[in-house]
Amino acid sequence: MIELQNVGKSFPGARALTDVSVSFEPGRVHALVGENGAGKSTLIKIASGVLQPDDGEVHVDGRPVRLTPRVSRGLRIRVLHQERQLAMTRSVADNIVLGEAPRNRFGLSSQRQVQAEAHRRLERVGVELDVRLPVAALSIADRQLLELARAVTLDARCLLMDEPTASLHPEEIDKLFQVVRRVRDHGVSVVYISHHLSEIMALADDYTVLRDGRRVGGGLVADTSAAGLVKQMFGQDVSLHREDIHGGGPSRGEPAVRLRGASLGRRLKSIDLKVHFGEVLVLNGPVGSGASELGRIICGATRPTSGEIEIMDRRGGSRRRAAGWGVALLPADRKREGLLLDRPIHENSELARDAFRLARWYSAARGATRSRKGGQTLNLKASDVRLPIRGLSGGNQQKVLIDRWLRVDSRILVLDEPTVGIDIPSKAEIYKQLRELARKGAAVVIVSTEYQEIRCVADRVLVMRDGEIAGEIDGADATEDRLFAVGARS
Amino acid sequence: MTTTDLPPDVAGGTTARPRRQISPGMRDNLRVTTPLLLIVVLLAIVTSLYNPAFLTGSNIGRLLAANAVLGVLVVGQTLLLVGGQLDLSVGSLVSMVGVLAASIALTGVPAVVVTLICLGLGALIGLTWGAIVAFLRVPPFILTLGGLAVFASLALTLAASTPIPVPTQLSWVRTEILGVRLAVLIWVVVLILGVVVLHYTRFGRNVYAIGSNEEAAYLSGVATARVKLTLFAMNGGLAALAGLLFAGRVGAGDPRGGVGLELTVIAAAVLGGASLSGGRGSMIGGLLGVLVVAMVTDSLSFLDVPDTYNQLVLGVILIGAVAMTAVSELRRRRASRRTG
Repeated sequence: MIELQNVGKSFPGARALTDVSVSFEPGRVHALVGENGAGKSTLIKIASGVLQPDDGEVHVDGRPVRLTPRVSRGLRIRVLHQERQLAMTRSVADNIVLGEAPRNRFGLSSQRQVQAEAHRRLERVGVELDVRLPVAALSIADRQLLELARAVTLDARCLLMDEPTASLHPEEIDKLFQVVRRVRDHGVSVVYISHHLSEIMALADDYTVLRDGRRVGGGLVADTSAAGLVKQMFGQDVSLHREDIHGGGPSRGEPAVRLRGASLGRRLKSIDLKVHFGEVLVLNGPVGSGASELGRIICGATRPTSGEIEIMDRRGGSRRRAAGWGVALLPADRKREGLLLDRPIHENSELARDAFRLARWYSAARGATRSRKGGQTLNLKASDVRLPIRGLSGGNQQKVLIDRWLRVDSRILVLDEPTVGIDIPSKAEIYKQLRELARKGAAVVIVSTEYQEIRCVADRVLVMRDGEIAGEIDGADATEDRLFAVGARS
Repeated sequence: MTTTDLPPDVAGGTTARPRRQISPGMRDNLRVTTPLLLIVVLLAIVTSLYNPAFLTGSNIGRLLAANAVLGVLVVGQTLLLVGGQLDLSVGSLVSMVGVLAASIALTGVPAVVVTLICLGLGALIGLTWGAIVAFLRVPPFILTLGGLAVFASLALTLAASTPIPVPTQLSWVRTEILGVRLAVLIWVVVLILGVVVLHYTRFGRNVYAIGSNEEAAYLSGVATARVKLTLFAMNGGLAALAGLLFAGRVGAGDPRGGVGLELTVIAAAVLGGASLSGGRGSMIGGLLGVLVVAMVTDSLSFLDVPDTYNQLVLGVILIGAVAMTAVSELRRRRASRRTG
């Protein structure tokens, strides 16, 4: 059993943890709950020895220990990293037995032996993978299962998992959960961090809520509810209900974007579509359904292989042309496609504005002033807009990206999974902002797979399947069951 | 529905940071430039204690004139590096332009025409690099490495492997205005233009944006191809200008004159805070990088250190600078990740 007793940790300028006590028991899944910056990751780092606490003690099996990464490895405490640590070009088998391959009597290890051993170990935790494949050929989900299997076969006593489902599909999450449960039943103590309360309700046995680095609640998951967890996380009720966010029926205006027979290879098949000013249109469908691709075509980021696109009655062309007309794109992968991570916040929010009229003078001071003002209207939490945007939470980063397009008076916005990895109060704020934009006459297109999000904001939902629009649902009727029924193969 | 209004103390940890007087960006710049300035000042003091002739007006003038070529090249290279690009062909372009200018001038063509031809050629070559990088997505490192070899060979072929003496009409580079060599004045003008372009225009912001995250810049409407073309063209023109300055200074179109120069240029720019991965660097940093290189080379000779040690000292300074940047970067990342 691993116990943290009254641990505290400070970083220059910020207190990360204060007087937190928690124990992780064998054979149980323990969820750490809290919004971004609440101290979950710091706690995991202390439990794995990456960080040493300033105050308090760590006990393992009742004895105080001073954990370092080495010591914790010796105690069989394993961390499943968000950034995966696998040898990409090597086979699954090689990765599982990495560094401890079985040897024959000549001191050599044969491929066959390695593969058999790997297969045996995978079977123990119920993971089915072709052990001969290179890791690079596996899906992200399978890589995660592989990593999980590897940690377990190294006789982990405690497994620390930080947001393991961040990039997985629902079926893959189910598979992961099965493996985690199996691991738990082997007597391992699992510590689980996730933003998704539904996952915690489904998987965890115990929970601990952190807020501002303090333990504000905890107990048996069976004794609480998702709403109860939210209340403990934020110290207030946060509503993600349509009645509280949507605020009135659609006031559909002129068509903003028209697609006629837009195709993209085999991924999109001759789509006809109108997006109107004043509405929030949701494109719903899993990866591969074409929803994301359709979003990119609407904003000019991807050119259709055939078909026509008209933006505000003008023929669409390159991404730059569309951006010049104020067509916004907020990509799903914020870090890779949206942010200038090491540049100041104000440069990030000015990017679309600076993209045009290149010979114009640039003034950092004036840009910063505009960003401060824009930040205020969006309720942005940042101490200084001249600091790199890297330091902001996901929710605040997304607000800056919205601000980027408000700065150029964007009237058509395309948002791909706009609230992935964003905490609940920020989600509610962003939803309200998007509704407000639509009320003021903007056309908002959201690519989303999150049912709650669709319920909150949509006027109209197009359900995509295999590159075609499988059906249209009114936002008010868009329940999980309806969406699923329309999207399912008939 | 104001239930989502967060109390300020739950703001992702950012509110806890102390307010600062100088802007964070300025602080970053100072972190890079202060040590360089210290090196320059320290070297100046030590050397002039040993040899008082070092800090005289005429020697400083000579020092600046001798490094105008490097200075002009670093302006172009800093622009490229900030934009995440790179041009390795500048060294041999300097040689080739020198040879070309001398041979054309020998046929009696007036200096103005020679200068325009060379600058145009440089810009055209840059434009070609830019087009290949922007439209064919070839990494600039490999591409310009090829250019380096081609121009070096062309320079040698054109000059039949021996320096071509520069005819009188190209000696304008050595004229003095109010006691300052024209080459130095040109360097100053180029530097000021560089500062304006990189730091005070929206074009400059786009350069930083492309260097930081090209995909994000493109999706936000930045004309990434056009910006890259412009960067390479500017750098090509500046390299040609540097070639003219070089030929004018040594009085000959030397086909081996620019050998290895590209590495010194990149070293100076990186010393000044530019990063090979883009999105970082400043013109003033680049200038200080040049001054450090110039001071080290010069004061070593004043201190009677054999010039075989030049590269060693420069190399050590470069490694030290890069290591220092890496350390402070690590610390900063750790600090900004602390609330995660």
